[in-house]
Amino acid sequence: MAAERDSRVSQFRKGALELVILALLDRGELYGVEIVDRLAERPGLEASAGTVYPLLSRLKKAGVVDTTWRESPVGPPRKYYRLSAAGTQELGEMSRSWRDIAVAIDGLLAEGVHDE
Amino acid sequence: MNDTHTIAAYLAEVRRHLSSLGASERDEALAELESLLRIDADRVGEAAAVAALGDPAVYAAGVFEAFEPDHEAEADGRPVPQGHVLGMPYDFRGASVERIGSRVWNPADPRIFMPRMFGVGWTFNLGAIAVKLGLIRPDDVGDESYDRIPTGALQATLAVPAVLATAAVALMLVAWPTLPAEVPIHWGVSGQPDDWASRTVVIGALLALAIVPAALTYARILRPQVSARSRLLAAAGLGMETVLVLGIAAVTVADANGGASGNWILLVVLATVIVPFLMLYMPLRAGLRAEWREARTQDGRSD
Repeated sequence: MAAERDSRVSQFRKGALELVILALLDRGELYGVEIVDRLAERPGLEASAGTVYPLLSRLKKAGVVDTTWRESPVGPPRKYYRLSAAGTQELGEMSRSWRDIAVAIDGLLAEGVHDE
Repeated sequence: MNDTHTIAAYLAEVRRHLSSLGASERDEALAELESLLRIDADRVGEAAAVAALGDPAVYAAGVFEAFEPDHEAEADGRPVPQGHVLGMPYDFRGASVERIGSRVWNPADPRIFMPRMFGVGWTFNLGAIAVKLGLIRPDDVGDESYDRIPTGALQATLAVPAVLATAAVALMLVAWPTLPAEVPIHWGVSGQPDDWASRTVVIGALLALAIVPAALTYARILRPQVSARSRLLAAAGLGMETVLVLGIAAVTVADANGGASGNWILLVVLATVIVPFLMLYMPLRAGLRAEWREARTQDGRSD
């Protein structure tokens, strides 16, 4: 059962990952490895590079993020990601939906605890 | 509009949309749907019960999502097979440029073994191999990199399958008189041939395989409105196919002229990986360098 629960939790996280990445980029531009590292710093939000990179390329295609090459002190230039105007709007809409859902579910769970 | 006013027609339509779901899951979902519909039909009538469920395609999509929460993965650029047989993924939809882009060259996805583009089994994700080899980073190559490939590099790469196909045709025509009436078509693990067929059939089939896909692909990708990305990905797919045909023709000819060892077959298999790899990596590397040069001049200007 524990494995099944883990897979359900990872489904939650996967659904929220787009919102998480948009929220990270809202604070300033980041390059790919930095995004993975910032996620790793937050317990519960860790995501592998194999999950993050395909999502970044989808966000780029959707026009939600823009990219710029910038010189790196070590090695070749790095590709930095930042929110586009459409991305900022998307972030606003997604965070509103997230809060609505979170409040509704919290309310439901609180009622359940009272009844027991 | 599909005529789905009866329960049977509705179920058949949902079943059709669920063809890629596992058989037991599909039967389970359809049995449940049928029992629900029958209960409803007793109350409000068959047509109303069916109408209340709406579009069968939408209903099927809901069922699909319930059973396969990962089915949206392809939207993330992570390909999913149509299904599995004996544990191996299968996909019998024709190879499109998008499918090549998501399976043969997808550096963002770390998996090296991707569900095969056509048929059963796996295919190599050459993009993931380039990342593992440290040649590129997973997000280096974007759609815009294809447009930065220098014209000469792109044209040279697009010419590779034509050269390979021409070489295969020339080799077969030149070697035709040296071939026996029956040529080997299958080799055992020791490299010894264990099955033969008529040279007319074998060479005829190989000639068709060298010419027809190349002609069709070039006719499609050399039209002016086709993007550099579509051209390169399609050419790499064709490169993989033509190098295989050239390899099989070479082994067949070599076998008739003194014997081909098992190493030849290994060499052909390696070439089907290395040729498309170089066809993608070399021009994209040049495109990437052009992007970087441009970024450096812009940085220099803003300083």
